[in-house]
Amino acid sequence: MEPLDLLQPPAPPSRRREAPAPQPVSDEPMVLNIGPHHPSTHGVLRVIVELDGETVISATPDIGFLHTGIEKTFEAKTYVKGTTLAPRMGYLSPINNNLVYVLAVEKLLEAEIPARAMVTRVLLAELDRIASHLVYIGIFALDLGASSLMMYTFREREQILDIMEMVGGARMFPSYIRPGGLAYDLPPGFEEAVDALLTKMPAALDQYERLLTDNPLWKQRTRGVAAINAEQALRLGVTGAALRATGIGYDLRRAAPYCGYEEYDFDVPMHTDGDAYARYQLRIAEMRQSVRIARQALDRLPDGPYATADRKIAPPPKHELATSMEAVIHHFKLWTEGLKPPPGEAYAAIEAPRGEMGFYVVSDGSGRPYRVHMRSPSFVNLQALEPMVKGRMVADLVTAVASLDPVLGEVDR
Amino acid sequence: MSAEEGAALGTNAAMPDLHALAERLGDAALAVGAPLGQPTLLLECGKLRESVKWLRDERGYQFLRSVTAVDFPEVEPRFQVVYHLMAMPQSALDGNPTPTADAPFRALRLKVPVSAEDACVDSLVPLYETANWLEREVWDLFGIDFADHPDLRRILLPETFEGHPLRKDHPIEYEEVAFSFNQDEIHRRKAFAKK
Amino acid sequence: MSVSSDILLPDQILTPDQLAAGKTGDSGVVTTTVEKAVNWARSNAVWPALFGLACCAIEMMHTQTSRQDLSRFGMELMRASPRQSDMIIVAGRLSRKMAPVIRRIYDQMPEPKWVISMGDCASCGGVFNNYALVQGVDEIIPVDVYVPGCPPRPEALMHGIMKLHEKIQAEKLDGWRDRLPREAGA
Repeated sequence: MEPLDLLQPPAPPSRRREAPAPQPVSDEPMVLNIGPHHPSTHGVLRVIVELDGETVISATPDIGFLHTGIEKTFEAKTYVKGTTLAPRMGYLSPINNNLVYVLAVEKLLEAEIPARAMVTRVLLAELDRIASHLVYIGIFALDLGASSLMMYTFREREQILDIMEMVGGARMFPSYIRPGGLAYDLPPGFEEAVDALLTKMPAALDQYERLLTDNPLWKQRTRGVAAINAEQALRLGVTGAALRATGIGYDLRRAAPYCGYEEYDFDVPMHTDGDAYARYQLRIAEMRQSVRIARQALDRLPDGPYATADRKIAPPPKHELATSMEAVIHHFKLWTEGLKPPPGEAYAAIEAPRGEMGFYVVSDGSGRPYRVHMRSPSFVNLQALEPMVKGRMVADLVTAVASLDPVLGEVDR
Repeated sequence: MSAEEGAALGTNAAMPDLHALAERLGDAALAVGAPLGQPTLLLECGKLRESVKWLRDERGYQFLRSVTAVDFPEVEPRFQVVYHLMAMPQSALDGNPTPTADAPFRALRLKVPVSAEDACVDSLVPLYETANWLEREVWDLFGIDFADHPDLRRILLPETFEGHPLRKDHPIEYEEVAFSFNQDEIHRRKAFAKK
Repeated sequence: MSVSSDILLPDQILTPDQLAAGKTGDSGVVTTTVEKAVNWARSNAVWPALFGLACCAIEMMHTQTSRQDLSRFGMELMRASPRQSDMIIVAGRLSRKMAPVIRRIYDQMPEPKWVISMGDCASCGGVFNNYALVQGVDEIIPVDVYVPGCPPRPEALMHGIMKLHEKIQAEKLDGWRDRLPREAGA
């Protein structure tokens, strides 16, 4: 040990330390498990993401956490009881779910539906579309951090749910559309309530647009993010606003009109960018068109019967049960055995808020369906998640999921 | 209403395609028809991929709408795999959602009888990427094997689940409903959780 | 003992046994007021853990938003992390694939914790009596309040929350150690 040199001051401690020897950093991508319990996945969706830093290498959705075996349950219930099961699949657009199931059953029955029922179905379906898109915008904004917008959009949605409650008794799942027409006649006060809502909607939509559409933060987070091109989207089977945002004109209200949609005057908004911003813009435009269609439906709402006169399909009105024995027998048969479509199969599809929703119903002639399959738009759209986020940042994953608008109940059934 | 929908979707527009396909297939086409205004072709499982490829390349059916299956346990072969295809007119691909009478949207259905043991059906994943999850779902719920599927595993049910629930011989596993007369026994037998 | 102020000290009004018991935190006159205070604090801002599964989650969102505001209970803040929450509202149908996940989340929550089972599917399996669903969330986690409905109205959920508040107010501090789950070997 060297003797201390007391004449020389000790050297000050060196400020620059030597950098520690670099540790070998693993080149393996990090696997991050997002969900199923996560605030930003729309329900219980699990995404297994491989990351290289912040860049996504692959994103595999793992679904099935909400699988309810509804398709098997359909086979155990009668056709009318199926109207309670169908809306619980895609629970954000229950009327549309209800409608397409009933359309498939009516195709099997080859039933004639009165005009009043058809117009009311269109009206309720469009209100349901508005309600679903309101949730979409509220939750999309919430996922991206703009949490106050949800309070605004749900304010209008509550009004729509009030109308649903007025009509069918329940806020979300009124099961009002039944095979043959409607379950009961429209209540008094319905037209005024719808009128009040439709008068208020355009101003509300302007309010949401003022908050989001030209907002630089919103644009930065959604423009060019989660983009998909037309050819990819078609191969992946994407439908709905996500497909129309890429430039392909596929809207079942025009391609295969149902419930008299060919008589209504409306535009189908289209876009070509295919990114999250385009999908958002399309949905706002679709809401405006829905207000237009609903207004036309309200104006042309005819009087008349609300369900078909065929007693083998629609039950007789209550007052007839007191006087006609035949009505009592029909009522009894419908409630015990259920309506019996002739053996066959039918596929009916509508333009639900999320895309093409179809029901494939196979009947064997008994009162219970033999097989019911739902072509769920969210299930197919979710396959497009991986191409959308590959090579992008992990934060864009949330934007991609939110802009695709999956409803996990419909994905997992 | 059903007639209107059929006309707008071009019921008759899809039939020429089906008749042409049936001619190509010869004996492999088991039945052709349009029940309730829906063009349907029943064909042998070995010819599925080439038929769909022909429809896609020659007749423009670029869109696979859905893949599902139905179980007929008394019939041999037991399952029928059902495909719904759609051809979009060029106007739609260019961005116009309204079809004209001479260029409508054409929709058809293909049904393929398959038995449980042999993986006779070829996977459509090389033709349509969307078939990936759709066929996985059919495998999961029915147990129908698709040859050459890149990733055939369960999608909706947990990995440890045994059986294929949508088959008719799989029970629905209904739990007895508790009413006031039997709720005590049911609650004694039922496993309630502890903290 | 001489008293120099007017304040009665606890050891002057309790018997030696009570005093000994009071030192270990069990029973006693003093703890009744503490009990009330603790319960008041616990019930007035119960933070729920986010656990919306299906349709009931939408009604839960309705309860949180403008018309029926859950803020009035101090509960508008849904913590995504179970470690920071007091309660879990199981809103929706619990499938068998999801069951281990909810058990894990429940185990991660610190005591005291409560569970509201919202809706028919969470309470008893609801409309879906089949292979895929757990027939009632109480097979997996113990439930304090069941709110029936399919889905329950927001007002019904609030009624359930108020019932939970009543339950919390009625909780006793006595024997709190016995109510905790015993860890193996502890």
